[in-house]
This record gives sequence, structure tokens and C-alpha cells, in this order.
Amino acid sequence: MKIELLKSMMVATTALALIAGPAFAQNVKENYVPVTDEMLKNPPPEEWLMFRGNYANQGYSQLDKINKDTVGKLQLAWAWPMAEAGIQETAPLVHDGVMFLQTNNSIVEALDAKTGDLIWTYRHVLTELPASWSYQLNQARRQKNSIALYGDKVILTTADAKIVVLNAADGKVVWEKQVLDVLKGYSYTVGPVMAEGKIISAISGCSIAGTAGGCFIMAHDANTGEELWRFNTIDDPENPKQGESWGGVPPENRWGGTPWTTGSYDPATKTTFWGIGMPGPYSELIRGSGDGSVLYTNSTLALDTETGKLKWYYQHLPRDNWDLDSPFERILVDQEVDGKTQHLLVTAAGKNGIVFALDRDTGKYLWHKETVKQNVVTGIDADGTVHINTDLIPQAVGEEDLICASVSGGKLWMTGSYSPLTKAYYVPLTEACNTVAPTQTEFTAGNAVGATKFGPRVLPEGITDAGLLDAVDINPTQGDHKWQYRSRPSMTSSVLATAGGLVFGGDAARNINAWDQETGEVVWSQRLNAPIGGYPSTYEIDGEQYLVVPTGYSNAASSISSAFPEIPLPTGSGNSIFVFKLPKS
Amino acid sequence: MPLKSISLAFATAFVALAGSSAQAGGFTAEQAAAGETAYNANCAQCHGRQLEGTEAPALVGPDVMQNWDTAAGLFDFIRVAMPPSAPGQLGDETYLNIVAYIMKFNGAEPGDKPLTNDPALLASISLPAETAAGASSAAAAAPAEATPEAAEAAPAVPQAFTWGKQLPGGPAPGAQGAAATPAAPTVPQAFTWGKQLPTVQPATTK
Repeated sequence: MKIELLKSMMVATTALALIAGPAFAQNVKENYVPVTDEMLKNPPPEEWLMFRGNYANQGYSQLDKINKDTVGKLQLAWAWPMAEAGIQETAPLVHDGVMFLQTNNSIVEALDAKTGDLIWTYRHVLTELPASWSYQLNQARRQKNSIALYGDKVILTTADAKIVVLNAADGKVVWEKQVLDVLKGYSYTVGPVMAEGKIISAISGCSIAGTAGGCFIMAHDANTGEELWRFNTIDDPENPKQGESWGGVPPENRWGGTPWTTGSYDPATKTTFWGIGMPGPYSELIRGSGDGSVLYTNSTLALDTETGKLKWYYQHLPRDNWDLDSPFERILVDQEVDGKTQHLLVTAAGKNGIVFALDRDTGKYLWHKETVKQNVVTGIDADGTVHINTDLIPQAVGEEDLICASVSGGKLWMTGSYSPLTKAYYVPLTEACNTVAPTQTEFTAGNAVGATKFGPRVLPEGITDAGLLDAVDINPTQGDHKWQYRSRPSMTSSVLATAGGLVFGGDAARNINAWDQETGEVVWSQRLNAPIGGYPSTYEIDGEQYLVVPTGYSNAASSISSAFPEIPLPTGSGNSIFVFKLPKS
Repeated sequence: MPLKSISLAFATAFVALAGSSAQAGGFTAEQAAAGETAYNANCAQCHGRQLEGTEAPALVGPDVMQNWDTAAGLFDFIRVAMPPSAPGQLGDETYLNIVAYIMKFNGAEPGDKPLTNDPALLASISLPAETAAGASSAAAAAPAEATPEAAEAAPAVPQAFTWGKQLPGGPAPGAQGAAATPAAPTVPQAFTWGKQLPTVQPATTK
């Protein structure tokens, strides 16, 4: 009797909840507007449709309501704590009034971008790994830098090497695919670029023991998940020079070559451009590769998106011995010179912070410009041949050399922006060095094959500021410093350039700053709860421009905090986003 | 001197792996106990209570020990850089205690002689040797339980091309090979593993 009563009460409550439900939480975005190929080629200015805002990876917004005159009036609109702790490197996307926010352990949340209300959450259940696989487990706690929007779907690449396709409207799984073997060590740390029906992404984890011999940029069909092509960054049978460059090391003892920043895409030539990371083990002494350049590590690769074939490569750092990855943003820039459009690719390619310009149609080297203190590259010939400091190559196990920049950069994942307004590339950097010494290490499952002892990150001699925002003037014949902004704390976020003449970015001291693109003057600054992180971006809804700023745990802060001990870092991770807008006039 | 000490340290590990009793790890039980408290207060937030690594990298495992190489490698790093909220500010005694605790957690056994801030002493303490010795000793004490677990925990992975080869500064191939035997068939190693590589003073910086 009592049970019957309880049952009918429950039924009544359920019915009430069903009726009242939509008033409290929608859990679904009604009439979601699909993202088309045309939108991806020409993103609406009021949206932030992909990783860096456009296929060219420029990190530039055409919105200008927030500008040098108004930025001082910015107010907090709303804030949100991320769903998971861990290293914070998120790139929030905005489309049709919805913010898609990816957080650690492959969680995606959809939020009302105007109000900050939660619409849905997708919480991926990761493959369980043995506790001793500590390096690989740590990767899952590292923020994936992007997701992608395509049609009415959200494309997620996961820490356990799956592609998961969600309905953008309600977060429900449409299909998922195990792409590579997570039990070998593969994981995704970057999201895809969507190129006319193809999911183009790259796998990470290639410095984990079990992944020997293969690191891949891959294309999958966006509807079916079918693999269309893959390109192996450390074993290319079609280019004998690639194999020879590893000395006698067979593919099964090669590691690294991880492309861990989402590539750019040129629809006109159907080419995708990716940066490639360091070789493993880190030193040639342990690697066994002699004086070989170990292709395609530390290179830019231009791949045909239709076939996956290599169009050209350019190596920014041959013969790496110091874990100075070169996988960072490849930015596509078109400039008119004498009535002719020049097709450039500009990049602060690697941790040593050197900015390169290439002809992106041919891969021809155009020029380079140094930024932070570095001692590994001694010169670059006119034909683009890079010379390294062979005195810094360890000749014995345990030999220590002081290397600048450090394993934490110099340049790191934090991405620069190109502004067509000023024709300048704004690059966030850190001044740092560390000792590097090879060790002879027996590899274990789920762990890395660096075989290197690193010393603490320290400032280069004579330098007292860890942080550097370098504005580099870009043209087809040379690059030059437009201005350099130096600060005690390290830069910890990517930067965003806008048509309002501003560059937004932040530091380990928890300040989100706006710089004048022309002068480098800080025209606005707001202190938040944790180091500024991820990829600040901007969007517009109902005529109001918003600025979203991620914050949280930052390796770019913690690795070099001894350089600015007067600014203690918080011990809480604080992973959050803060959304600002101008007051209604 | 460094070559000698490293070779000795490896020799110690191999002897221990062969079933002999472990040597003391160069720190006292009191240091490790104090280090546990200091670690949990200052480090565990990011490195995990089980040293498993959360935001920050793990501090447990043979590869971690091999990469830090010696007590000096670990001490010199943390006394400058850690914790990020107060880098270098815990004092040498606390940093030494934390090194002792990390060693103990990885299997090294405490002894009578304390760890001190003596660069030569710290550089002479091999983390892989001391922690392998302790782990081996523990395994020997409970072989029935430890053996299947150990086998399960070590699936096959590739090794460096040089694995098992004598590299300058590295241990002799025979000694390294002996160390590698339990795990060698399971994972790939460096191309140079086990080769004799040239050696220099490990502590010198150009």
C-alpha cells in the first residue's frame, strides 16, 4: 500500500518534471544551424568556428566593437568552472549562440554563449590504463587544444585515440571509432581541421615506448569514419632521403615526429600544413642516428588533402638533441606585392622561437628572425639550410650542456596571431634555458622514450624578464621586430588579434592584457583567478561583442616560476573561463 | 670518478636483482618520514599522493628514476624549481627529505647515513640502482605474489636502437644486459641500448 502510494507519487513527480523540464534546463539546442563548408571557408565574423578562427590559423577576429577606445569598459558577463582539473589548453568555439568548451579527459560542454547556461555535457569514458603508465595517464590530463564543428556535429578526438562524433544539438554520440591502439600509447592531443568532408587530424603519444615506428597525420570520412589516408611522419618509403636521415636506425626503433598543433588548410590548393615535433630518444647518442637529420622531425609538412601525399617539407631544426619540438602553429598569410599575391606560411616553428617565412606553394625558405635567446641554431643559409651548434651535441651519457631555449620553450603550444591590420605576427614566448644530459633508460609500457635528464628552467644570463610578446613585421622578403613587450612573469596563453587594433593574451601573474597592435602599449589589464591559458577568442551575439578568456593550471607558468618568485602561483588549478563584454550603452 | 660511481651503482643493482640483499639507499628512515609529510603538503597537489602525476609528471617508475639518474639530478632540480607556488623556498633540509621520500616510494631502502647537501655524495647515489635494489628485495620477500603482477605490468614495448649496447658513459653491455633481462623481451629499447658510449664528467656543464 505504502509502496503503491510511493509509486504513484513518483509517477506524478516524473510527469511534473516532464512538463516543467524545458523551463529549467533544455538539454538541447533547438533548430541548431549546421556548419557548412562555405562557412568554414569564410567564417562569419561574429562566430569562432574553429581552432584559430579560420583555416589560415591566424587567430584573428574581424570584430571591432571592443577596440582601443572601448576596451577599458569591459565588464564580466559570466564565468564557468571547467568540468575537470588538469593542464588547461582549451580553445572554446562559438556557433549559433552556443559555446562548445572542451576540457580535460575529453569532456565537452555546450553552453549558452550569451548567458553562460549549460545546455549539455558529454563526459567521455576513457579506456582504463595501468597505474604504472604514468606518462600516458598524464597525457589524458592535458587539455586537448581543439574540437571541430561540422554540419550538425561536434568532432572530438580523445585521449584514448578515438574519434567521437556528437550531435551538436544535444551532445549525444552519433558514432565513434578507435583510430589507433591506445594500449601502444597513442592518444589525441589535437583536434581536427575539417576539409570538405574530411576529418584531418594527427595522433600524439608518439614518444611513448609502444608506438615505435609510426606517427601519423590522418584523414577520415566525416560521415562514416572510414580512414581515407594516413601519412607517417617518421617512416616515408616514398622518400629514400627520409629513411637515410635516421642513420642505421630502423623504423621499429624510431619515435617522435608528433604533430601536436592543429594544422592549417588552404582550400585553393587543397593543402594542409602541419608542424612536426622532436625525435625520440632525444639525443642522437641514445637514438643511434649519428649525424642524421632525422626527418621529418622538426619540419613543416604540406600534404595534399585529397591523397595524403607529401607536396613538400622544410626542416626547421635538423639533428635535434634537446627536445626542441617544432610542431607549433603554421599560419597562412596572403600579401599583395606589386600587384601579385604572395602565398606565405609564417611560423614560430619550434621551442627555440625562431620565426620562419616560407612560400607555402613550394616550401621555399624566404627568411627567418630570432626572438628569444637561443644557442642551438648558428645560422641559416640563403637556401634555407639550417646549421646547428655541434658543440652542444652530447658525446657521452651524462654529458650536460646548457641549452637555450628550454624544453618548456622559448615557444610552446601557446599560439601567436597574425593581424592583417598591421601585417604583424604576435608571438607569446618565454626566455629560458636548461641543462640537458642523455641517460641510458630502459623503456617501459606507457612511458616516454626521451632518455634525458633536464635541469630546472632558468633565465638566460643577463635577462631578468621571463615573458616576451614579440610583434614581428611580416612581408615576403624579411621579418623585423615591430615591438617587443617584456614582463617578469612568463606568457601563458595564446594570443588573439582583433580588428579593434588589439592583441589579447595573458601571463602567469593571472593578468589578461590587451596590447595596442601598433605600439605594444598595454591598454587594458584584468587580474583573474589563475594563470591565463588556452586560446582567448571573441564572438558577437545580438550586437554585443564578447571576449572569452580561459584560465587554469599552466605548465608554462609552473615550469619557470622560479624566475619570478615575487609572484607566487596559486596552488589550486582553478580551470575556468571568464566571459567579458561591453556595458549596454 | 662519476663513471666509477655509476658503474658501481649499476653493479649494485645487478647484484640485488640476482637475489642478494639490498644496500641502504643513502638516506635515513626519519628523513623519508619527514619527506612524506613535506611531499604531501607541498607536492601531492600536482604530482599525486601516489606520485602518479596528475597536472604534473609522475615521480614513480623505473624510467623516471633512470631519467633523474642520481639523487643530485632530482635535488638540483627541485631545490630551484619546486613547488611552483614557492620555488626554491622550502629549504635544503626539506628538499633532501623529499628526495629521500621519493626514493623510498620507488623502492629504495633507508639506512644509517643521512642524505646531505654534499654534491659528491648526491651525485654518487644512483636512483635506478637504489630503487631497483629495494624493489628487488621486496619482490624476493614475497615472490609468490610479486611475480605474476610484475609479469603482467610489463607488456612488450620497443626499446631504443642502442639498447643493450655499450655507450660512452653508460654501463658495460654485460651489466646493462643483466639489468635489462627481466623486461627486455617486453618492450622496444633505444637503438643504442647496451652499447658502450663515450663518457665525460656527468656534473660538468659546458
